[in-house]
Amino acid sequence: MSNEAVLLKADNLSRIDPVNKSVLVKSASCIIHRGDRVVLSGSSGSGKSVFCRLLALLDQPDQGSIVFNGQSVKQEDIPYYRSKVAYIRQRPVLLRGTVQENLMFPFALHINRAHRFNPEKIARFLSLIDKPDSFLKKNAADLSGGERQLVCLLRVLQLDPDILLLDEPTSALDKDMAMQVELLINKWMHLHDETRAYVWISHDEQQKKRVGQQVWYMSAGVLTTGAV
Amino acid sequence: MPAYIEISYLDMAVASLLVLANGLISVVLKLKLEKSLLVSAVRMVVQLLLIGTILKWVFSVDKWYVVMFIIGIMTFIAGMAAYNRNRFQYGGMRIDTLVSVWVSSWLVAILGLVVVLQVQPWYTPQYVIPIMGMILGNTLTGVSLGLDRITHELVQKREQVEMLLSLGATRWEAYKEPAQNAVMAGMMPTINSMMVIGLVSLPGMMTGQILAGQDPEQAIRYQIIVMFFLSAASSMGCVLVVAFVFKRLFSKSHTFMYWKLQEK
Repeated sequence: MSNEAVLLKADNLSRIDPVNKSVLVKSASCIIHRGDRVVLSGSSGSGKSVFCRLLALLDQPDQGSIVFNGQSVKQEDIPYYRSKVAYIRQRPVLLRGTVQENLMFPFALHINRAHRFNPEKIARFLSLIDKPDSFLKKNAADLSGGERQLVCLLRVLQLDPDILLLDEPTSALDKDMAMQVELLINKWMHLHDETRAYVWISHDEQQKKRVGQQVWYMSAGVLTTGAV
Repeated sequence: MPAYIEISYLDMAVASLLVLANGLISVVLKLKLEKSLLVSAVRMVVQLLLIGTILKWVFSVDKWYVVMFIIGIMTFIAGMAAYNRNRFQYGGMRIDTLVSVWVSSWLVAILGLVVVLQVQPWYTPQYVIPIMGMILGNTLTGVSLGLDRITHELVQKREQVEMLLSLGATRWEAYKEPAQNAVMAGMMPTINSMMVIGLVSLPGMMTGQILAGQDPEQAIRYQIIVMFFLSAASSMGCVLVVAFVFKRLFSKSHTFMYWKLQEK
């Protein structure tokens, strides 16, 4: 694959537990290309989550570097970087208010000051997952767990990220809801002609087969990608 | 002007009998508070007599360094008390609380004593010590309430803070809401007390001045300016401590270092 297709390159990322000093992730390196659909596999506590948080720079790596779109990420660019390399957690977090208000609030952030909430874009996403427009008027507190996760995804997808870091987004959902989440992400990949990418942490063997085109393994903090 | 009634030791002994009523209630209702009642009553008497002796000495010496030393100790005790009233802690919390109490109370005291009251000489203990004491008491409340609230907010809303950061929020954008709540929590008691002052209770300082034979109008003017000092100092202290928490728990690379926050 050509160099232009490389979205993100991580070199020797390490993370030590700040409290008990044990090694959580040891010199993990990886390359994410446009169009990559990666499943990150490994037992609980092996460091998958920590690694994804490192990739999102939600935790500061103790060692290593990240090059995104050909440039190393500088301190002042981290908010921008996070809006492009979006981390999605297992437990969806919504603010008080309606679904629409939850979708609009990211535009109040400094990083998105040049962008406006785009109702048509949201309507297109909603039609992909067969949700009526009235869904936007619902109170966030009345949503099911699956619907909450869908809102979280819409909130991220509307901002047009390059990479999704999906930290078990469906593990607390029933199968139908999980399929909806998969569907939405799959449609999003198609919508952008496979120029985006994701890393998906999953424990569900069936799901891994459905969403992964390549598998990375994490074991006791050591990452194996097969590619690097 | 009516004569000022001096209080003798006998008067105090008679008044102390009233605490027996509390003891009786405790025994009858089996509250098991007799011991705490006795200890607190004795502590109250001993502490106040001690302070009385110290103040008498400070007033008679009338030296700036003695006054500074006393208010220095008062500030330290207030800072430590604000620190202790907390359920969570992080490395450096003690110094943050101390500096918040110290800077805000001293700044307001300097403004109040030198600019507003124009006390001559500036260290006159009769003014400095009681006013400093009131300011410190309120600052301590503002700082400890603000600190308690911000640490709770951050523990409870860790996921929300991280959600904001992962959407591209700057560290300040992620901290803003908890910070606003904490500053509000720190300012509310002062606002509430200003709201009902004079209606529900007469403040201690004003009451004291009136008892001492001071003209009530002057006593009220004193109370008014002191209330302004108190509200300024407590909100400033609260804002300061919330800013210090921000510096400690959010890195320059916009990460939330939640692990630094631990239960005591």
